[in-house]
Amino acid sequence: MSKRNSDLIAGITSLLIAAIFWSQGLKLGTESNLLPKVLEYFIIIAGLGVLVRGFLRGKDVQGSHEEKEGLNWTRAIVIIIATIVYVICIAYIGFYVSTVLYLLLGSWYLNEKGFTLSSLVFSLVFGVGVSGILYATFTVFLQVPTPTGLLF
Amino acid sequence: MKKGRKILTAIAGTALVLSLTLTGCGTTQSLTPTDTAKKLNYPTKPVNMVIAFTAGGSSDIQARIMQKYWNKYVPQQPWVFKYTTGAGGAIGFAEAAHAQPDGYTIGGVNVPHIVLQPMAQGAQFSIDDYAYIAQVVNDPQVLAVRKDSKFNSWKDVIDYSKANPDKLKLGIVGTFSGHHMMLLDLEDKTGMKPTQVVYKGAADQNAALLGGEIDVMIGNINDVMRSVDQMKILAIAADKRSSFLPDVPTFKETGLDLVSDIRRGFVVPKKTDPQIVQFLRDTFKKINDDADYIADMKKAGQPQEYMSGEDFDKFVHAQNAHAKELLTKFKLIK
Amino acid sequence: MWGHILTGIINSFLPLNFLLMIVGLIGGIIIGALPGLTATMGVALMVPVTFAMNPISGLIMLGAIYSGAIYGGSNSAVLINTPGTPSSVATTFDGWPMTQKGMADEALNTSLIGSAFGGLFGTLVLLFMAAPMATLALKFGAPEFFWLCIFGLSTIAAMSQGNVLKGLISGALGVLISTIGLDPMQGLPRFTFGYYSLVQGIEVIPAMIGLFSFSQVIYLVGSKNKYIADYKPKKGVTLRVLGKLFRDCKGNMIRSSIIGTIVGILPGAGGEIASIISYNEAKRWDRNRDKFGTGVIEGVCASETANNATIGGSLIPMLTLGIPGSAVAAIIMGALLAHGIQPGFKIFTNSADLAYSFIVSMLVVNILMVVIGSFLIKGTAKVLNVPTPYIGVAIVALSVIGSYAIRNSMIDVIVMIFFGLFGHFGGRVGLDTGSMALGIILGPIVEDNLGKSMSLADAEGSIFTVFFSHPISLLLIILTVTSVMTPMFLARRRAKKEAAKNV
Repeated sequence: MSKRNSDLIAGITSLLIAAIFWSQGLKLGTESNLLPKVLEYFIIIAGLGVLVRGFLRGKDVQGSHEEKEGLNWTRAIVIIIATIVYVICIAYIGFYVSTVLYLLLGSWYLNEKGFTLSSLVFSLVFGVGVSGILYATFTVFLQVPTPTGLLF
Repeated sequence: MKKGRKILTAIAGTALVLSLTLTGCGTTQSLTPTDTAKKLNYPTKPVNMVIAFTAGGSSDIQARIMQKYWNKYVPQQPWVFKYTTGAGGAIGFAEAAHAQPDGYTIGGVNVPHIVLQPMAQGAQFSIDDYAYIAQVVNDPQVLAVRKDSKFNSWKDVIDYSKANPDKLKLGIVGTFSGHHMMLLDLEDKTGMKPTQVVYKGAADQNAALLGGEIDVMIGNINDVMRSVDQMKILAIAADKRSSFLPDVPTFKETGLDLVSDIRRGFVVPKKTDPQIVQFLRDTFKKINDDADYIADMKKAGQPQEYMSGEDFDKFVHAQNAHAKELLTKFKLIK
Repeated sequence: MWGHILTGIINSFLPLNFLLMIVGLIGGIIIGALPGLTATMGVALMVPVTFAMNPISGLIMLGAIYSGAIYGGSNSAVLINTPGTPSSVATTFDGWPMTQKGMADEALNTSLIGSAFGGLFGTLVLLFMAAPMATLALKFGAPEFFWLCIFGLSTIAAMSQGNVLKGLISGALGVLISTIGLDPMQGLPRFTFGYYSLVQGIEVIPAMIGLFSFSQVIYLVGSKNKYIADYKPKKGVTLRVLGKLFRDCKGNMIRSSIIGTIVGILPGAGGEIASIISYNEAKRWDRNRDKFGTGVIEGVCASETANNATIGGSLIPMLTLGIPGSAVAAIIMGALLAHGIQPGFKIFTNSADLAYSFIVSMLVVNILMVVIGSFLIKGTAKVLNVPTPYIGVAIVALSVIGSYAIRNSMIDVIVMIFFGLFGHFGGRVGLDTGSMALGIILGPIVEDNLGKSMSLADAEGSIFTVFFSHPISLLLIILTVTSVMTPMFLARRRAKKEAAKNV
């Protein structure tokens, strides 16, 4: 991403967040809203600064080192969506079942050999194994409650 | 969905403590201490105990002491502790209010918290959501100053504050808390005008008093006892003197009708089977009559005071009326 | 006193107590290393167990868990860029880059030795200087706390060199987000966006797990790297690191220990602030300050030494005044009270055996920690040999359970995911996750003490006297100003030098 775009996006995002908090704080008393107000002012001024800096920058300035290493967007987005689905599933089928499924499917999708049977078996062992370790540590040893769903 | 989850929470809890139950308590039904006419088949699985404050806190320690005696009188099923903290207890209190009313979720509640939070902070439960089992602790509030303070009685404090409005720095813990209510009560009854400084917890409040940041503070016995060597306790807002501080006079005996305290008790959801409620009330009474329990509570610095579920219910509703009147007067609620 | 210390040594080496130390340390390290499980939780979970023991054994175990958990937090900070406890946030700044450079062994051993050193230092202060230091806790009022937090926040300016503006925005966003929930002054809900659940506020730990851990996983699984980092176990690293630390980082360790102990004494400020301030100070005093953040041993050492030094510090006001210096100290005090032991100066005479045995056992625990820790490191570092697809999803599962475990709430899991996405995409446009984490951690303390100071100003009739007349406040203000100005000054000097070279 060019430094210009990075500045523009960062500026707009921070202005947006400040605006959301601003609108939420309209009904608050002065005492409650004192620090938030100060912060909102600051973010708006600094955000505008970043935005203006972005506009002033030339288009060709290349920045950000991360970009060069290359991020596989498909994989990243699949994992983000899978995680969201995973969290929703916890509410229905419980933590441990969802975790086994998430670990199994997630690692099967991500592993380098592709969707082969042997990697599926490996992922299954991995999923059950890790869930087992989590169960042993959290539920048996520490007795910390885990999220529960309809089934478990 | 929520309902199902609650049931299954309990089932999961069963699995969790299976190892415990397998090792101990071989005897089961024969010991059931119930006098009720119909045979009550309760409890047949572990009972969830919802604590609205952090593990290791005062509420937790009290419940843990109680647990020891629950195991003595109801050996067939243990308690499983669940800490649901946040928003000054409101999150845990709400959980106890909305739990499955099957008798397998008991909640620890604090008064006046459960009165004030729905009234002023929009908490999502009400005092009518509960069936009250018992009050177990009555922790009265005191007015305390530094050992070297120029104030020697609560009247000195009031006189100074009236003569110098806004000059007296008075520390309390939390807004819409027991301390806040006592402060409002004091202002209402004496006409004092201090500057209120709100602290997050007893630790930083005690430090602020000892360090001279504030002149006077409202504290609970349980908290001031820890630093009692450096403090002068001026008066206690209770009906009678406390066995922890036998030399400290009450406000009442020195001419001010002021009683203010934090009480802890236990509740189950309102719709719980009356037989189960009765069983729990009986059991809690037995625990509170146990001399060993009383000794353990005293040792841990917990001001034990039992009140039956019926009386506790009435007390909470009386507090509700009082708080509503006071907060309306000070325009803190509409 | 020496007699009591001798009793303490004997008590520490009784077979049962020694065993409890080992168990407590291992348990504590594991709890600390797991994101979401904090020292507070670990100690609290074990309190009921101690009811069945004699008070001395119980306290010895709780002390071991406390030390182990604060140290343990560095393991996950170094290996998977996830602070296991909030006090290890600053450890990620250099620990994670070290791992990426293939120096995980060095980083882990640095944090182990640093932790033990800090722990010993804090405990020695507790043993010999408890009474004079206790009064320090009382000198620190709301205005001092306010300036201390501002000093902590000034780290942001030093941390985000070259991009100060975005760093400051990130920090301000963090503080703003931390204001969600009940406001500390009036106790009224704000910024709940219509969801009552948000009234409990954004919990720090899930937010941090999201910012550091989940955001990193997105990057890891999308990258082409087969492993998180290259890792080949090396022989004798512990001794090598030990030698290097005592050769090159003496000043750093002592300074960080002092900062840690003092911050620990203050009720309401703990390892998270101590480690941040120590990190910043280590950077400021170092000749090669530009190397900080790229993976240097000094950064890890400063942060980890400081956070373990807070342990001894936090016990000082608890034992002498009954005012716990940290959440964990509060729980240990609860355990004392449950055994019918009242804290206060009298504890050193009335229950001298107990008090001294506890303190001396903490010294033994810290030495024992080096031995146990160096064995555990060999195991934990193997995490790096797991291919990224597997470790990635496993970290997510751990993050979910850790976020939930904080207070049994799915809201926290959602918060974790939200901050993970925000951290990842924000990071791509230069909004710094470290700065935001500092804001979220320090925000509530800033506001709480700002509010109290304003109330005090009402009574004093002057804002100026409250904020600017106390000596400690003035000292902190001067430190803050220098901390902000130094990097600016240096940048200008460097620019001048380069300009001179180019001519």
